[in-house]
Amino acid sequence: MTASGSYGAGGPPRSAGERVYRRLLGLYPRAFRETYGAALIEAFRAERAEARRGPARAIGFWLRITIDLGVTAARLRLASAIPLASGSVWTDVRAGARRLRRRPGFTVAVALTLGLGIGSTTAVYSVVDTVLLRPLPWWEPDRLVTLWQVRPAWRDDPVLSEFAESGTFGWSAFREMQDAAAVFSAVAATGAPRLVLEGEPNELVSTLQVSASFLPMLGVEVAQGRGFDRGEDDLDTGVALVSHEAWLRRFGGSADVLGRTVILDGAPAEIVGVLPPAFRFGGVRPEFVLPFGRLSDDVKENGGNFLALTARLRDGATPSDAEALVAERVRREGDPTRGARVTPLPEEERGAATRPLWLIFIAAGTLLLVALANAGGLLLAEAQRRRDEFDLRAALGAERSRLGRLLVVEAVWLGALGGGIGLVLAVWLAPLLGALAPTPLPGIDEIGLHPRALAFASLAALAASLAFGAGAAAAFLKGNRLPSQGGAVARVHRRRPLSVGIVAGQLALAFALLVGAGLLVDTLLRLERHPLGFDPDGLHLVSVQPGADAAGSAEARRLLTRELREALGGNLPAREAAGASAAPFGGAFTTTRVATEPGADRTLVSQQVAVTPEYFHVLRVPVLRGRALLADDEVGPAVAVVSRSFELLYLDGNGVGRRFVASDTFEVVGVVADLRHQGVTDDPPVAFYALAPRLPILRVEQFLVRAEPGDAVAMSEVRRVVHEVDPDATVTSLDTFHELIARETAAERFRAQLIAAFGALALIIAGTGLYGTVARSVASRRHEVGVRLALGADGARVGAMILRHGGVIVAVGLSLGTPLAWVAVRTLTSLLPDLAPASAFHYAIPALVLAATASLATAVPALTASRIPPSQALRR
Amino acid sequence: MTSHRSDVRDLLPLARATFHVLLALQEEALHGYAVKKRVEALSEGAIRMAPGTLYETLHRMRERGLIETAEGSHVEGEHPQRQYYRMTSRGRAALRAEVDRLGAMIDHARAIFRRGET
Repeated sequence: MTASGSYGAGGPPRSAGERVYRRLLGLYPRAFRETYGAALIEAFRAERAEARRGPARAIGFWLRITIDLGVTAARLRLASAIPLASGSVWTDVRAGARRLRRRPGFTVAVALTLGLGIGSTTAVYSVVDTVLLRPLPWWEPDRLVTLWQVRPAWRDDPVLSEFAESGTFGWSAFREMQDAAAVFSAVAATGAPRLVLEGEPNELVSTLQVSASFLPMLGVEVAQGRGFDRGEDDLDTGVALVSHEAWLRRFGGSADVLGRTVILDGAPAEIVGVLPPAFRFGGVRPEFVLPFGRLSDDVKENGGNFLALTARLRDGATPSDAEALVAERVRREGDPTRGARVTPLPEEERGAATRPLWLIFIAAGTLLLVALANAGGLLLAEAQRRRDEFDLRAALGAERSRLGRLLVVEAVWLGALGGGIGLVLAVWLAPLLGALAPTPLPGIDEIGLHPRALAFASLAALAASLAFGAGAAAAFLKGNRLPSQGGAVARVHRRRPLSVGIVAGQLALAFALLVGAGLLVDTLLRLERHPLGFDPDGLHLVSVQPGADAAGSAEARRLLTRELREALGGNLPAREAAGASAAPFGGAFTTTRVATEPGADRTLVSQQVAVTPEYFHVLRVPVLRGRALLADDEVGPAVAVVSRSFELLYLDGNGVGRRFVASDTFEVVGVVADLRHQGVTDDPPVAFYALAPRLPILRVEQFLVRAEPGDAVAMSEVRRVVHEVDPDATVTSLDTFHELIARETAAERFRAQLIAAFGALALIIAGTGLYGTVARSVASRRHEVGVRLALGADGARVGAMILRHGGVIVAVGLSLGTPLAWVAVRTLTSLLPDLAPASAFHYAIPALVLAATASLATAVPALTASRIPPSQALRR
Repeated sequence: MTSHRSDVRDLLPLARATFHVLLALQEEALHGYAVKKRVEALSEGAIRMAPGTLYETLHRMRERGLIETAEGSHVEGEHPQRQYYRMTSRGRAALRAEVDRLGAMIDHARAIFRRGET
């Protein structure tokens, strides 16, 4: 059928205008055209007959007719394509809102569930977006690389393996790289010393020492003042840049900050520039940025490999070109086995944060799925409940498509409500997540709700509401078209496989989440229970930076150490104190070469620690053989105590009386048990301990103070006693060992807590879903239950019947959840290699938790069912 | 009829065209073009529905169960294919509800006017 010709309106012969109109009718949807085509043409003719007077009116007539046709055709086509777009959308929207208001319980339940899922996912997404997805604030960050030297020979060394893959460089290597213009367009060197900022009181601050090429290479411009020029790499001009944050905090954002002077580690530095806000590099947010001119030529030439190198690849140069270049340079230093590693800087910056973040995002996504399923289940149940009402309306002439549309509109409303709640939750949660995150995540200050996070939340809400709205509508439209089937008796045995499936799905997802969370919690617990080798209860770590005068000569340092130790321990009641160049978790360990036999060609490396005689006693480290160090050991032949690992690896397990050569020749007088130096999971260190005067290159600036467990040492107290001994000294830190250990395990704790929280939420949501389903089933089986009770079944049996119903759902959920959990465990293990190995135990406990929750959720409706008075149930 | 009553409330307020078509069909069934003419007369020429708008309105009102086609009721001598439309009970309920709504609004407005006058 063509558009013109067959609408059948008879009458006078067709004019040219009418033929045009007939053709235009083709714009209408076919069904509309077929029903109203003839009538439209008749109306057109009548209009035309009235309008045909004068050319100006003809134009007005055609304008009116074509606009009318175009607009109505577009509306009708849209309406047939998308039910929502029809003219009655607003009517529907208002009607939907009204219906939801009439059922506050249902509305709040769905909106809260959705809000919870959307909120937590959006919060995590905004962290992921800020930290992982947003480009770093540098010019072409993809061209920036970090350079490392690799020493395969160190890989098997118990001490040096840590540095085997990520060796830094010396000053001359940096200069040579800068000349390699074929590969690099810029090379920058950085160091990140913590320096003492003179003030009231002195403070330890993060700084970044950089070459002049650093800021231009990143493409970062100072917000005020100037950067460094190349001459300042070598010449000390006594200048510094201040970070935006330090400028605000320390100088009150004052406009005349340029030209002001600060004293850093005793040397004055004039502020010549202010960095842009939120500047960070290499995990450091420096308060001050200093040029390398501050360092003497002696330090640069003989200071060893103290520089981290970053470079910008020249256009056309690849990371492997860079790797070849660096490898060639490091081999020239004499060791042909050395190599190089070149990693993209963005990867290096985001590095540690990536995997746990994705993990948390997956967990939040799973929670969202559970929430969606739960809300979908509620909507479906609601649609089923309202079937009778809808059947009645349909019988009274309401179009079924319109009724279905009402369901969709309600779902969209609920999605919008849930999205709103989720958004509020995310606004509150996202910065909290950022603040709780253990490792300073790059860009954490900027975490907030960015447009992309907002878009994510809205998308999640929309997808959610449309998905289950359409589901509910489809379930309804598919339903019986005969209103007579809506009766109570016909409904008694109506099975609800879909809603049972939805609840089982929630339980399955919750189970997988719980298994994953359990594994993470177990990993954390194992870490926390890991033997440290010393007793952390009541133990404090105090770091002191002595004033320049007091630490001038070796003898002065020796006296100072003794006085500080006595002040910290002796002057305070019930305190004991010991000093060390590097206390556990103090992060100041140094290594040295040792030889156990004269002329041995095997290179051995050990940590060396200068201590005061009380060291092992204060730590409560047992002496396994021989004796601890004594005050008298300061004179006479040099003696040392070695760790059990040192003895096993280097002295054939029999150390006392043996000698080894380090900076001196030491006789081993005792062996102590291994104690963790750097962290909870580190291998026990290979270390030897000697009194401070025997290791003059080390400075004893860390003190262990043991108080009664539960008795905290106050910073003010420590400052006071230190000040009495050395007025110029700075107390740079005071921590309890429990704090230090907690900091060490913060990353593990953070992800375990977060995912456990998601798991618990998922369990609660799934539990309410189960409760709802069983309760509804009890309500709809009221009559049947009444009959059973009237026929002599006792309440207990009826209750058991309902419990069985719940049990079946849980069983389905668990059997779906077990493979899911297995996949979750596999994913976790691949993302986090240090995870506790999964065992049957890790599946059994969550299964028990789930079963317990499920019993609780089922018990209430079961009890209700068993107490139904048969007379009442039968009356309906 | 209570369910009917609450049911039509979802349709309120009625679109201007819908309201006038219901007014036009109050007394008798009419064919499409006659509806248009009656609406024009009722609104004193204020509402002139072009063909597309007329039939789209009629189509939607049918969909919502406000009007229905009255088959075989065409008048002798007229075009045999002409479709007649008449108001359903739902349509009548909707019209009544809308008139009530408008009436209440007008009463309210008048009360305010009176208060302003005194």
